[in-house]
Amino acid sequence: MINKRLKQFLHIAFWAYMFLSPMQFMRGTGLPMTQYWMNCMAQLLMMVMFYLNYLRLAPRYFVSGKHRYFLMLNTVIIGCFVIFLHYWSDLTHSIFVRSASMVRPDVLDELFYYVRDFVNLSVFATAGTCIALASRWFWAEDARKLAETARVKAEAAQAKAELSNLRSQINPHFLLNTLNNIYALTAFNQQRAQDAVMQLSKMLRHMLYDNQRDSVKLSDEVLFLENYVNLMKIRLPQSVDVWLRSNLCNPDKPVAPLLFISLVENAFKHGISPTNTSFVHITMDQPHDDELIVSIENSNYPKTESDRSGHGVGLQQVQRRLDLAYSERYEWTKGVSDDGKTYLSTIKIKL
Amino acid sequence: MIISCAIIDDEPLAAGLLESYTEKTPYLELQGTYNSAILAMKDLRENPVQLLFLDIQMPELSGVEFSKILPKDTRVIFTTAFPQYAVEGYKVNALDYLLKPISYEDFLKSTDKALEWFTVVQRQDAYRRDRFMFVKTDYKLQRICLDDILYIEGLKDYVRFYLKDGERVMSLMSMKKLEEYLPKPEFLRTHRSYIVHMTETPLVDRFRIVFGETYIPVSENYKDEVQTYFDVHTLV
Repeated sequence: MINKRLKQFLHIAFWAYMFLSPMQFMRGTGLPMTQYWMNCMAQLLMMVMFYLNYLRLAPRYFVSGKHRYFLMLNTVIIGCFVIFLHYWSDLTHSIFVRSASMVRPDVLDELFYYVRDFVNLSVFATAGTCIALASRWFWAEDARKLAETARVKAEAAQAKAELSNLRSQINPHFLLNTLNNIYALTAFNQQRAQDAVMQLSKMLRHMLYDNQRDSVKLSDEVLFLENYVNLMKIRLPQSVDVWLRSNLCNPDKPVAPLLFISLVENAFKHGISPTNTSFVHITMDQPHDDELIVSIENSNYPKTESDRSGHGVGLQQVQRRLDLAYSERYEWTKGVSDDGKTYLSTIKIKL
Repeated sequence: MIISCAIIDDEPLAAGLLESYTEKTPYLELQGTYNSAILAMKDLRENPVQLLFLDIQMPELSGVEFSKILPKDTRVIFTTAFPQYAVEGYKVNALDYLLKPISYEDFLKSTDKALEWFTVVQRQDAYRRDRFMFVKTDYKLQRICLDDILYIEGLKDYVRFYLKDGERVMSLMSMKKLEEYLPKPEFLRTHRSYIVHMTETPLVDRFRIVFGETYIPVSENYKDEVQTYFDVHTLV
């Protein structure tokens, strides 16, 4: 992109040169300044021709393909200008060269002047058009490049957003830990190991593919959470009391996917103590066709300061998703019980 | 040699797998399995084990934190699913770390390392405490008191002990192993081919240790340690 100031300077310098350079021939001729400026009408018309084409005619008619119209318009204007210039120079002549006898130049001379002026004006019209087109092409190239970088950036940003979206929906540690446990399980209980692999594969499928859609069947979402809970059970001692109960009156009802997984993850993260009795209880209740009540209750063993890995990102995520999918149509209550022993999170949604 | 060991992992299956591995390994004797470091603390302090398989990522008390309050004779092999925690493990002087999922091959490699380490320690302790060793010579075992040794010369696959009464004993073993077992800095390697009983040094002449007619050189590789020993023991 050419510097704007440089461009302005070039224009001014060029026209100053055009208007002032003939002055050097006036030295010693004794011609009055007024006559000089009146003679400058030729340059003035060239300038008009140049800018007329540069700013209006070329962008409006040439670029849009109306070449014939463009050519005609230019010819007419230049023709008018040439005739005008002829009378103007006659006028100048009659004012300043009063003493000299008005010798009419012969026809050949007159024709020569017409042709000269016509060519001069045409040259400037062409120059204006060419520069307009060149800069247009130049800008277009620039704009194309700009658009290209913007597109690449947008693509990268989208990929990143999708990835972080997926990441925040499920902790990658969960995946690794579950695989490690399945590895151990194969040594003791092949049937359970097979079941676990199946559950994990169904979970992943739901996360990777169903997640792309705006809504999934309620029963699919419940199954997804059931699989998650079952896989978590493998990792926990038998003494931990974990269950998910669902009661759906219309399992086919659509629901936004992966709304509750962060909350369930949190329940396991903050609800399990290796030394004390712990529980995670999840109920998914659909008493009417358009109403869903999900409550997640767990024994409360808050993390110490040093182990706050998530900093509440999970909760923010849930809030955002709820706002996007069910704005004004949900109620979310959450908090620790009075004795501080349990944590309860309940979400009521009008489907 | 039997190594006593214990397992701490908050995930029952992970602990179970390690348990089955210890049963398969003849030189390991499992003393206990715990699902939490807190539950293990009392036991492991009252009856310390030699080797502890310790999970790093555990709620309430992490493996790295727990390893800092263990009896100092207990060596730790950390287990973790995440390599970034293994670095932490090395900072607290772990014997090794195992990345989950743990195969029996990996497990055995680690415990072999432990076995080697405990074997060396066991010998070091025995020689230090009882001040003698048996060396194999011509299908017999001959007792050598540490206090009788002047210096030891290494010869390809053999070593030769030079004793105070002028006796020389040849035995099939490597200088490297011998150097490892003998108490330091009472015995110091001064050269590729010599280990000297420093407390018996009669004379040092231009940085060579003189036993009667024999001049024992100090080579560049071992110079610093020997120099320090002399500096500390020189009256100025």
